[in-house]
Amino acid sequence: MKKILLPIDGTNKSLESCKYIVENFNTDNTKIYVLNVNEDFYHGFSNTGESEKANKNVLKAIDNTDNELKNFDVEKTVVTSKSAKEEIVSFAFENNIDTIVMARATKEGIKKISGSVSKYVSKFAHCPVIILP
Amino acid sequence: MKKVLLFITKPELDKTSVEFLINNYSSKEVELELVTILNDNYSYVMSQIDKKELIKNTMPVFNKVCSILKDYKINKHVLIGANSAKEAMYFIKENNINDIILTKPNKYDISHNVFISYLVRHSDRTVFVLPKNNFNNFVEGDAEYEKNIIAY
Repeated sequence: MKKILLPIDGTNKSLESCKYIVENFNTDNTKIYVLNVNEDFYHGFSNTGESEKANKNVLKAIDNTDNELKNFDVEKTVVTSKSAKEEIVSFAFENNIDTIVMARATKEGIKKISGSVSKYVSKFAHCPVIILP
Repeated sequence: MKKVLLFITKPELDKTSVEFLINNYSSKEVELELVTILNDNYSYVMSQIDKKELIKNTMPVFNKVCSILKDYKINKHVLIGANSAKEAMYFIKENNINDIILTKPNKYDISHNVFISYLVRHSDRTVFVLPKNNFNNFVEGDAEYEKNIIAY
């Protein structure tokens, strides 16, 4: 059984990775781990409930993956962490993920050129990383 | 037909990339672009003779890889430039590459890590970043090809 990690942040760009998985992986022997990391910059100090609100919005986005990945065995996880990129790498390692599929940069405008999460993940992940344009 | 770019860098890294390519791309579907980039920090100083010698030295490596990938349609390229990452980017744009296959070195190989980071960040193509010889669970290899790869 191949284990595929699909990190998403709720943006349309990240959800497009679902299409790549549908086109390139077999439904019979593939398990998809959909991971959302809610970045909490003041982790441990904030009690405003902002992270819970953000989680709800992202959960809606994650539900949208259901239609795309309906034939796959899917496990969804939402985590709150200081750093999304570190969380993705450690999640992949702990769950013995075989491949990570992610978009290069999901932000619009000037932030589009950054792609810092995909760069970090491709550098430190223990498994093959497929970075989609 | 899909165009796949395979960087020839170091034998231990090339083995992983070649193995991945064989297991994931059929020879009928893809056209391979084998590329090696020679760093020439003083490009204006380097003579034509030096360049020819450098290219000559890379030929045996190319030939070994081509013998393993004999079923594939292959185009070989040697790029010479001061900035290898930028040279690679120009090549990708000019040749309409679809997929790029790269193998990560160990963390102390700083120059190659910088090269990979640049491509991941700036290229608008699908990039496969592989850890060195660590994807046995990902694909089931063809025994004959595996023998050839071990020999290489």
